[in-house]
Amino acid sequence: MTLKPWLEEWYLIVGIFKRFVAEFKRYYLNTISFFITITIIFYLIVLGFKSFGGGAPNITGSLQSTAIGYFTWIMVVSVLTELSWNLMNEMNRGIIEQIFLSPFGPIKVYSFGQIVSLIINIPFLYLVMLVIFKMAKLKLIVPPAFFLNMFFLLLQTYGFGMILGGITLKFKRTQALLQISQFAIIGLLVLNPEGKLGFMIPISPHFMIFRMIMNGENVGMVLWLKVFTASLIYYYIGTRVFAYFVRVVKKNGELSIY
Amino acid sequence: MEIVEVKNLRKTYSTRRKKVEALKGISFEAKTGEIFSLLGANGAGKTTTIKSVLGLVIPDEGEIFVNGINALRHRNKAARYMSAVLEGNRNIHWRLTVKENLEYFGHLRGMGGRKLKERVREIVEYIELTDKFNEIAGKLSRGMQQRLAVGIAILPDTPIVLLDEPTLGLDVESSMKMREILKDLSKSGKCVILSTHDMNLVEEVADRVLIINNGRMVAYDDKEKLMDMFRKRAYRIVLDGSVKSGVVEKLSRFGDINIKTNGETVIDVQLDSYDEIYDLFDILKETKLPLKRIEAEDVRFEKVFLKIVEGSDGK
Ligand SMILES: Nc1ncnc2c1ncn2[C@@H]1O[C@H](COP(=O)(O)OP(=O)(O)OP(=O)(O)O)[C@@H](O)[C@H]1O
Ligand SMILES: [Mg+2]
Repeated sequence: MTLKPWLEEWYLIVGIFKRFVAEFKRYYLNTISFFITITIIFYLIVLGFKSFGGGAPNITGSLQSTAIGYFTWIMVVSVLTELSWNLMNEMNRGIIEQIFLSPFGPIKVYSFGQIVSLIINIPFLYLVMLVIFKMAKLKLIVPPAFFLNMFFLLLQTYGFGMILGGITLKFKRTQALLQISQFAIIGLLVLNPEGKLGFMIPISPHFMIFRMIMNGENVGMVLWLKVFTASLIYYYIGTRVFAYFVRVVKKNGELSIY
Repeated sequence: MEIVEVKNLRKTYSTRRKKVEALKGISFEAKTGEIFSLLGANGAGKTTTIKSVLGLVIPDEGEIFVNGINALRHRNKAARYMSAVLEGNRNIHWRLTVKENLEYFGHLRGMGGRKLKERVREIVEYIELTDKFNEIAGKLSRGMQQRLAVGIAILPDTPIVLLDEPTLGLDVESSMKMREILKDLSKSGKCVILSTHDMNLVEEVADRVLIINNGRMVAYDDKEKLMDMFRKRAYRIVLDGSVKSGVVEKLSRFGDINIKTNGETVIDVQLDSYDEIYDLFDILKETKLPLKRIEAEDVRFEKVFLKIVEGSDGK
């Protein structure tokens, strides 16, 4: 019954991955309509640039920024609320307790779920961008630093996702909160990430880094370390808040209630 | 071996409106190779007890040991030894096929590779869903879904299996199959803990019984002993001829007595203690009617249960 620990964890990831793929395939209409929506929006952005940008010399550059900005935005917004939608679904279907019975515990199971969704979603969206750019006969250039920044940004967003997930466990039907939080997070972008503790502001430092990358500026080790630290802190806080709500819900005996 | 030990569990649920004392000191031990049954009416506290053992509900007081591990402190460690069917047919992934369900929940327990594949094959045959292997679980009948839920629970081969109301809402055939599965599990050396309010199920499969009423333990013993206790005190006495009404009146002081006269007199009586049998025969002697037959009555568990619970009320 006891295997090598890393092997058990690997099997857990494999299992979650297989479930994702099975649902992806079975509900391919959802997948396709999602794909089409994103493609259309991307296409409109590209088209808009082509027609209005006219002969501007750096059209490709700013188009790249806009497309990548949009791409990042979709990721952040979906990552932020994904866990909560998933939990609502599981509570609604009565399956959540069976998942909580896992000897890995809910935090590990759901964190691994987030990792898997990342592994599936990033290439998927990247592919969409690639296709659109090809269609528009433009070359897509994404600097590697972009992915590093994306990773830190999403790590942090998963932390916030965990907080929302915890709230959803306790308060169940949090659809309104989730929608509000997607807009609220846009508000964070107006905050200035410069200054001593500016790197602790959620989201906005990463968008600053994106702009730096697209402008070809050097980001610098110190800034990387700062945003990485901030992301780790937020992720940690996220798991603690989630654990707190798990305890509350178990104390009230309302895990399976929806 | 006592693989599950529960000591003095107490749980009060507080909602905004009121407080409900769901468990008022529940203790028991369940052994490997037995079917341990929690029996009680609606709201008795069965589900709360089971979920506490599983770590899905945190009790206010008490201790739980699973295979010697303090389950309230080390939930994940204890979870390795337990699996469960909690909400019957709802405990499965409706969007996944039978195969995908079994594999998914296997993976959630750290199983994988060829070993898992083989185990899934084995289980699907055992729960008789081989021909539905690639069918979406949401489209199966209720009985099949319940069997799939049981399959998910026995897949990891844990030494302890807990089932909350395993026969609730099942038709006769599915319910029979469930009984077989429960017996198989205990025969293969597992500790099976189930909750139910189905007295027939307890009578047929349970080895030991804990009767809970309003969160309190009212009886905790071998099922046979519980039944024997009543079997010995329940008699059917048949006299040749009719007894007079004066005698009937005298007999009526035995609480649970039923007298039918129709050429012969049939007396069904449930005594509160063995000593009463002498008083009873003293009265019957007065009638001077010949004793045709006397037999210890066949007791149904239902009667045992009702008696015990009635006796506990008001305590
Ligand atoms: N989450 C909860 N919040 C408040 N009260 C609860 C909660 N869960 C159970 N209760 C109450 O606690 C008592 C015991 O409930 P429990 O579900 O353990 O009983 P049960 O024996 O399983 O009953 P049933 O046969 O109806 O399933 C009941 O009075 C119930 O209403
Ligand atoms: Mg119950």
